[in-house]
Amino acid sequence: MARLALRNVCKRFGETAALDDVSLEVGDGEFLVLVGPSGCGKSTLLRIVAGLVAPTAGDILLDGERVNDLEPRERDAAMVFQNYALYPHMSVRRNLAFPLKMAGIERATIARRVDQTAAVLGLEPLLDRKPGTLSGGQMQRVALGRAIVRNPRLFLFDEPLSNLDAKLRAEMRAEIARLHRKFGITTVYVTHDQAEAMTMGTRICVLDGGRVQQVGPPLEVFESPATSFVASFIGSPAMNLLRGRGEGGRFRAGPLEVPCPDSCRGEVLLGIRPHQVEVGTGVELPVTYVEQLGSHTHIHLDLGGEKLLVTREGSVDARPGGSLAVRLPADRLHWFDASSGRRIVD
Amino acid sequence: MSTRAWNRVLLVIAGLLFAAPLIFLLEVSLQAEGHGLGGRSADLLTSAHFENYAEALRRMGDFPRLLANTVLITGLSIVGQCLTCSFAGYAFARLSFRGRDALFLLVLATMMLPDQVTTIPRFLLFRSLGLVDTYWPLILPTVLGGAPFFIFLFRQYFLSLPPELDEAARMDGCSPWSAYWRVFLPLARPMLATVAIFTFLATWNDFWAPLIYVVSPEKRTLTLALAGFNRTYNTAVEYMMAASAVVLFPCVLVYFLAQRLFLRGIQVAASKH
Repeated sequence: MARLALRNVCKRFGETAALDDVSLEVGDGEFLVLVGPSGCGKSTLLRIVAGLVAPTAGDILLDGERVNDLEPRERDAAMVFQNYALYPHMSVRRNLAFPLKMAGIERATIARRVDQTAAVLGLEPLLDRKPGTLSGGQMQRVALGRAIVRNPRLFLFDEPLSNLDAKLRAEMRAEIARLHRKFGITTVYVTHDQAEAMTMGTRICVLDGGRVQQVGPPLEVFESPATSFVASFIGSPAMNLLRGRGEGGRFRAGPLEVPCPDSCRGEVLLGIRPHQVEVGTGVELPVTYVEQLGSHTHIHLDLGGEKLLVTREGSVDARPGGSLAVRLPADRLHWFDASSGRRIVD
Repeated sequence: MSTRAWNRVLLVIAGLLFAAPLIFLLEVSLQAEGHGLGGRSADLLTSAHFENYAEALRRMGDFPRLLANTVLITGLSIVGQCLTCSFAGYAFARLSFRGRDALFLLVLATMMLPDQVTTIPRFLLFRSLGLVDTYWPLILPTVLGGAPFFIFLFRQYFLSLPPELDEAARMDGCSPWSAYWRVFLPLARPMLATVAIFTFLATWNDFWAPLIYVVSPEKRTLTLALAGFNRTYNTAVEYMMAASAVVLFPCVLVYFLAQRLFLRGIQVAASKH
């Protein structure tokens, strides 16, 4: 196990800044999820921690020791890749044994640790098969095994479940969480899937444009997004963000007028989760589109040219062309500065 | 007749055209002495002179020695070619270093140089090193990665493997060298086989380089001996054809055994950018 700290890490590829002054702490045994859209820099950050990519500036510290100049093999970190990266010419047994063999561990110990790892992951029947004969889920288990067998002080996961179908993804999510509980190894997990971020991490770090937008426990990030980007990225469906003007404690956007904090002046964004919009009373808005999903219904409303999404459990009697009365409860509203996107504190 | 049937007929005709010289060679090699070109027996089932082969080998000189020389040169060339070209291809495909692409273009550019252009400078170089009448001038160019086409083949092959394999190997404790040796080289087995076959055919059949560098009779290769045979016994075409058939046999055998790999190598060269 290890404490990981990133201090003012920057990475440039030519003129493009992939990471811009990223500072982050990951506690001993913590499970931190790096989440963000494609190209936000999360995989680059993970590779910098692994030692596969050198940062342009900044420090990487493991247990307080600066490891910038250490080779990946010297950092005692294990990584699980999106496409598994198993060695196709080796059997599962040899794949699991490979990092131990490279570390110069003696044969008997390698055999014992491979057997132990195979038992933990249920890989015993597959030990003599080649990766090409395995299913996606089995390959991902082997990739996990290859990381676990080393008993590293740091686990790094680079979108490990992206290539699996939805059912298998849910199973593997639980499996990884179980392994983290069992071994308690400090973990950094990269994903663009917010369901993974919300369910797996003890804390999540939202990245956008190479910058850290917010770090915190999943529910805190969900309930108090620090920026309009985090508000729109975390949560499915995304939070409604309505652009309007705040003046004298009132916010106006199209036909909508609600009370707002005094600090909301000029152009601001009002945020509200689709399931928190109340239906039946308030301002009447035209319905533009209805999606019946069985367990839920998504109703798209037109708010003076902007879209307001409302979700309700079960089916709702609403049709495009009709209208729906909605109310935005004051205690459910989030406020963001329209130009910087930062949260406006009451 | 259907298009498929027409295609088959055309293929049979083309096949016969290409096989005709080989069939002619075998037919003449089995004729009685002096009947190779005129008065050939049509009934080879009853009057085939298989003893021509034993006589041809006797007349070639020390056949086991010639064979051993050729096998040695061919074997070392194959090992040298596979190792150095795969190593260079790996470096061009998977390692990042300053000037890599320019260097690769330079390597590719050497493909445009005909062998004849470099023959004299190369001879002068080996002569100045005192290596004439040794096997080194026949083996060293392959060991030193003197085959840009094969470097190109390996590079294309290594480029087609997922980039995460490098990263996984590095995370598992590999240096670039051990990643090449333990991960990439074993994965390149199809390409190694292709390069081995190409090198085998080129070296086994090579007449030009042994002619320039080999002087001592005991260091001669099969192709040199065959050429000598040609001069001395040019009237005894039956024996000449029998000797040619013997020298040709391993090439034909290798081609038939490894036909798929041979074609795959050509496909890789043609299809990868």
